[in-house]
Amino acid sequence: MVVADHPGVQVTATVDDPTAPIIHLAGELDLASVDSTKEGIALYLAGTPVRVTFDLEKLTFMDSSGIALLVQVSNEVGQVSLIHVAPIVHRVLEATGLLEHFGLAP
Amino acid sequence: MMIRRSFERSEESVSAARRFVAGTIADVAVELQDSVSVMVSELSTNALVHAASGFEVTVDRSEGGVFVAVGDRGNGTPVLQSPASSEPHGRGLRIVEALSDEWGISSSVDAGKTVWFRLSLDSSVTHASAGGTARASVTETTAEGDSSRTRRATPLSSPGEADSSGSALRHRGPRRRTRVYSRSSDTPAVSP
Repeated sequence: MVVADHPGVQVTATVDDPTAPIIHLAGELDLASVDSTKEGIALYLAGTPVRVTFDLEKLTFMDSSGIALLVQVSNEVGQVSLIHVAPIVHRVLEATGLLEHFGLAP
Repeated sequence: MMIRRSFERSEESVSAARRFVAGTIADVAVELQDSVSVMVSELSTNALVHAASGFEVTVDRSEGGVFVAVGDRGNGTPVLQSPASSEPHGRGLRIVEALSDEWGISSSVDAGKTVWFRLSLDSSVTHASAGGTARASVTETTAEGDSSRTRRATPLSSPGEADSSGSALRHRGPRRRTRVYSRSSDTPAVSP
């Protein structure tokens, strides 16, 4: 487990397989925290993974700023999955029609 | 109960605005609080990013629902977009469209604009998600116009009248608010 502290959102990761890291986000992802979050996850994208999983169990808030980040990572990596999605985050993804895009049941 | 607060031009104001509004609806169902928080976040973000100004949040909490307006000093008019899944941006108003019962924009030539939404706090009301047929209204007022008329045009339903005026909100049919014009959600509004 690697820990990198960022204001607003804490980024950690489980990297058993560098081509498929699991990135854990904790906190509130919005305009104020999206840039630092992006910096925080860059480390895990540097090894050109083929698949990235975001564990959002401790992400208590996300708006379209966070969606923009997830879409950017998805464009870069190709396959992005979300797990342990809180109801509020699920609702935002549903509202934007992106549930299936991120491997969640509609 | 109507309360209003100004927020400075700072990214931290987005979460501050969320907490400000959340404080007025702490007694309602969590899922409604969540929806309101997300919408406040979207409108606050739009004000900071597109208008590049601070913003003012007005909350009118009543027994049957909550009305929230975010006003800024920007001249551009927000546009409801339908971004492709690979497009990172352009989903803010789409989220407001999906989670609110109704929403709209009031703008004037020299006094900035206000984007507002209304949400019934009757938890039995179900809210449609993306792809709904909601109508957004854009009301443009002149310098001497009274944009607040927009709000009075469609009062919130109380839980007791859910089958009369409430159903109009839920099904989001065309409203009488045609002071200037009203359009379907799939048609772009005025260009920014």
